[in-house]
Amino acid sequence: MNLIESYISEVTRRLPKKMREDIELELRSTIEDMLPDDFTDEDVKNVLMKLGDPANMANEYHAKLRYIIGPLFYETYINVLIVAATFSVVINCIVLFVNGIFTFDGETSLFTYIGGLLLKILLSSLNNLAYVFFWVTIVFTFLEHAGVSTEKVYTKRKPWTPDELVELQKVKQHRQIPKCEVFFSLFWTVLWATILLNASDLLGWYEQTGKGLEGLRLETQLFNGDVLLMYAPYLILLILIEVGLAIYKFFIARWTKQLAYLNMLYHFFSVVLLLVMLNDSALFNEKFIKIMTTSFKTNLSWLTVTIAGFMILASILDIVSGFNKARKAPFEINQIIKH
Amino acid sequence: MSDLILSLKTELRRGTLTLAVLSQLQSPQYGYSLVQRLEENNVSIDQSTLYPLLRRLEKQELLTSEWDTTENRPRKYYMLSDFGREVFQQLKEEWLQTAMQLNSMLQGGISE
Repeated sequence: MNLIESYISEVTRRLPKKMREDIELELRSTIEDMLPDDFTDEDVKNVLMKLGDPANMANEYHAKLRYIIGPLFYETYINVLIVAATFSVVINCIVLFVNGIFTFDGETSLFTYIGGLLLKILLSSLNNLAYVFFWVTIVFTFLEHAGVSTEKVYTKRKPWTPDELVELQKVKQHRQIPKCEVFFSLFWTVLWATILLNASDLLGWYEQTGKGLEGLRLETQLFNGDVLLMYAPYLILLILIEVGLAIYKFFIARWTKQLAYLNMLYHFFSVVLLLVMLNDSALFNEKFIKIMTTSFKTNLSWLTVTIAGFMILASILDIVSGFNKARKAPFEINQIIKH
Repeated sequence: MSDLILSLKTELRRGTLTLAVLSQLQSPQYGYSLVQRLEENNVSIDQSTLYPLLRRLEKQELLTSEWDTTENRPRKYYMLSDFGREVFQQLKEEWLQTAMQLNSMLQGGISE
């Protein structure tokens, strides 16, 4: 009798609570059915052998829960994992590298410094990968077991026709966004962000106090640190927008109307921010402006105007080119990509 | 090699198991009596598969169940629901058709 009870509990302890009682009763009556009237321990063993491994039996009872991420989500899961892993590693590498270059103090030899930097990059990349894997898996496990269905998404899509292949070729010819473009724009974001955040150590008027590069000393800073700090929230917002846009570009990998509009909004925001900053006389260090004016014997306003002009022109060109590329595909393709 | 054959055989049989079980539940049966009926018909089924299968079919509303506590040992009886009867008819027709097609194809293959 003992063997029977422990077999049953081996099965039921692996099952959800509300299923247990019923299955326990059923199993017990089944086992008793299988035994002859006057049974021995040997008979019990034979019967239990027929029923097989209790773990297997329990697995069969809740077959639905045997996987963490099912076939319905698997493909999306792997895709998201790849994109998230790539981005976290690439952004991490760029940030650490640019930061490392700018904070090089010249005390250690360049060789050891780079070695140390590479090791740091490697370790934190591995760390990042673990984080990404963990969180993406958690989210998808939740989606899977909360019963969120991708069916709705699939049924929204129009049925496939060979015409889509023709459109796909058009996309490849005119509208694809190369991956290197995305990574370059990330690099650019990190570069300007690092320079601006370290502006007090980097930007300003340099005086030659000794020989060569090492003799250069930062004499007067370009910005008033306190005022620049007030712009920090906007700058961080700009960084987030740039990174977000890059990730979005990477994900859809082609120009769409939506992307063109987002690109336009981004350019508006960055140009407005730039103009406000250039116009803010409190932002710039008075001493720096004085040195510049006396050194070059001109008014500085032409410089500001030129910079602003260049930025506006570049932004307009990029906005227009975005819309141009998006327009090269018919409307339906935009619909398909959305889903 | 033999592992592969085994898994292919299991796969081939998996769908037919449901049909076999449904066919024997025109009248109420409890777990072990169902096993015996299947064995009488030379259908061997892993018991660790059968009992969970019965519960799943019940959850899919193909079967109804009832505990009989009048005898000295309580037993859970399963039987086809109306919906189950309907499904069984359709599956049966599907099977007969598939079997016919496959038989004629396989026999054709041998005679060639």
